[in-house]
Parts: sequence; structure tokens; C-alpha cells
Amino acid sequence: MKNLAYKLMLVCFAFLLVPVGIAEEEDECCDGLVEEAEATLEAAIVEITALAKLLGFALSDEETAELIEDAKRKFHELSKNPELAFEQQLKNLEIVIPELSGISSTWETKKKSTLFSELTIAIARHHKSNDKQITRLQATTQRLIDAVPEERLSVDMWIYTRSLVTNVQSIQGDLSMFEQESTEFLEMKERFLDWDPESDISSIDAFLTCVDSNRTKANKKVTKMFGTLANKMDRAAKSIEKMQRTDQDFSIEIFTTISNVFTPYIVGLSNLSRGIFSDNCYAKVDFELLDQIASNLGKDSR
Amino acid sequence: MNWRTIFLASTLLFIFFTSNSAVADDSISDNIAECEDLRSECLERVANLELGLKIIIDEIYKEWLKKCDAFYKNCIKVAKKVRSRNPIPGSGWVACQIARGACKGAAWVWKTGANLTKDIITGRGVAICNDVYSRCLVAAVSPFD
Repeated sequence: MKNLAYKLMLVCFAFLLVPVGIAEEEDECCDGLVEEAEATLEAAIVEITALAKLLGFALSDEETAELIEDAKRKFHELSKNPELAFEQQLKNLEIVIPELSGISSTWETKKKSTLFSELTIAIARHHKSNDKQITRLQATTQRLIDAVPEERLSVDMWIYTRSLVTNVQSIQGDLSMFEQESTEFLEMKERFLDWDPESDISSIDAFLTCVDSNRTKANKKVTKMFGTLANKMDRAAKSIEKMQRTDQDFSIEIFTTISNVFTPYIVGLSNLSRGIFSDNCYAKVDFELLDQIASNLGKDSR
Repeated sequence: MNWRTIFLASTLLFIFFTSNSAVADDSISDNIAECEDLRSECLERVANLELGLKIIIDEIYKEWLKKCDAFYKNCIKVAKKVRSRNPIPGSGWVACQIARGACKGAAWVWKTGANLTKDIITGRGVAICNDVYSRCLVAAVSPFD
């Protein structure tokens, strides 16, 4: 009987440990991710220096070490204050998307769902989504907001919003950079044609066409992405409304439904950029041929 | 049979079953809430990581472009010096532009590759968060499994 009592005591003790076990899971979260990121960072810098050497203007060992240290420092600063980095990204977005003007100074006072709603609508408008698409995005967002309590919705919407801002800002930066490059290439094209109207500058034209199509692709892909998001939000809202009409507790199912709407985008949003810039416009330019044409022009006129 | 043993066993059984039902009623929902917090914390950290990597990649890319521009400026200086020997006006400028374009093209290729690596790391992070959440949930709803 004593044995039974001790066994029961052990079972109770093990039972008391269960919540501790859950808490311990916390330690497993994200372990090694920062180290992996730093290792990737160093590998990336090594790669870039190797590339620099190939192109004939190598970074010195000191410069490389400095770059690694600087990048690591920035990374740690950011981990301590991600909100500041987010605000900076919003400031950058305000420059290219005037509809967002002022959001970098007011975002902290807004509800996460409001911030999500305002950002998605402004970005969709900027990327030429039509009125019907905008209205649907607005309506489905509102339907989900109405169906789910803010505290439950805000986590996923916030993670999505951060990823959206990171990726959209990056896309805008790359689009502007290529458009700036276009003006340089256009000038180069004019020079070639001035020297010889028969010059084979088809690869410069290919670059210019590629840059033009990036903007069109960006508009199409962003509109399509928001269309898919609107459909997902609509389906989720409907299914949550249905769950809420019963007496059963569906809190886990509601949580999973919401996370299934937004979580795939944390990774998926970066595919958006890859899709827009899938054609490497620089690769369209035949630098060797252009160099050869320029050299031959010099020889011919001697 | 010792009465104290019987008393201890029955007390423990009482505690065990009452706490078991309490978990079913209250603690399970607390545990689930803990799992949700755990997941959101994890995703937040992944988002920080993604942003951190993105910023670093952009910094390096900017540095790279600066090198291309520095190379271009130097190239133009040289072109100006040898202009008298060059019969085509502007051909030096074009040669430097071509070299700069090639340099920027190489930087772009690097950036694309670096972003891909970033996305793989982010994807792995999200997968870890989902896994942590699922396992936490299993432990929360069936503590004896």
C-alpha cells in the first residue's frame, strides 16, 4: 500500500511538472537562428569580397573585417529595437507612396488591425489595383476584424504588416534603382547612335524593356497577392462566423484559421520580389559586345 | 493495513483527480494561451531576424555600389587624361559606363543570392515556430501523452 501511495505521489509530481515542460519549450524557440544569421552574414561578406577581387578592386582584409563587425553591430542594435527599424522603413515608404504620408509618426498609436488595413489599401492603390479590388480588400479586412477579437488578430496582422513593409520597401527601392539605371543606359544608347546609327545596341534596348516590364509586373503581382489575401480573409471570416454560431469552444480552431491566413506570407512575401525581378535586367546587357563596339569605333576613326 | 497509508493514498488520489479536472477546465486554456504567446514571440523574433538580414544585405549592396561608383570616377579621371589620344569624344565615358554597369550587374546577382539565403533562413524560422507551437499545443491539451 505504501508503494501505491509513493507511486501516486510520483504521478502527481509528474503532473505538476507538465506546465514547466511547456515553459521549457520556450528555450527551443529560435535557438541557433541568430548564430545562423551571423554565419550567413559572414559568408555573404566573404562572397562579396571574392567577387570584388574578380572584378579587380578587392577589399582589404581590414575593410572586410570592418564590414563584418559593422554589420553585426547593426544586427544587434536592430534586435534590441525593431520598432525603430520599422519606423525608418515607414519613412522610406512615405517618400514613394504619398498616400502613406504621416504614418511613420502615428503608427504606434494605431490598432494593429487599423495599421494593417491602412497599409494594405495604400500599397494596393499605389500598385494600381482598381476600385473593385480595393473595395473587396477593405470589406474582407473589415469582416475579419469584426469576426475576431483584436488581441487574437493583432499578432498575425502585425507579423504580416512587418514583413509586408520590409518587402514592399525593398521592391520600391529596387524599382527606383533600375529606373535610375535606365537613364544612364539611355544616355549610353544615344552616344552609340550618335557615333554610328547602325551600332548594335539591341542589348541596351533589352535592358530598358526589362526595366519597364518590372514596374508592370510589380503592379500585377501586388494586385494578385492582395486578391488572394482578400479571398483567404473572406473564407477565414466566414468559417470563424460559423464556429461562433455554435456553443462549442473553437478558440484553437479560430487561432489556427487566422494563422493559416497570414503566416504563409511571412515567407511568401519575399517570393513577390523574386517574381518581379525574376529577369535579371543586367544580364540582358552584352557588356563585352558594347565594349568591343566602343573599341572598334576608336580604331576605325584613327 | 496502516490507516496513515490509506489516508495519504486517498488524499493524493483526491488531489490528483481534482487537479486533473481543474486542468481540463482552466489550466488547459491557460496552457493554450501560453502556446499562443510562445508562437507570437517566436514569429516576432523571426520577423526581427528577417529585417536584420535584409538591412545587412542592403548595407553590403550599397557598399558594393559605392565601390562601382568609385571605380567609375577613377575610370573617368583616367579617360580625361588620355582624351587627347582618343579620337572619339565620349568613348572614354562609355567605356567607364560599361564597366560600371558590369560591376552593378555583379552586385545585383550577389544581392539576389543573398536574399535567397535570407528567405531560406526565414522559412526555417517560421517552420521552427510552427513546430514549437504544435508540440506545445499537444502538451497543453493532452498532458499525459
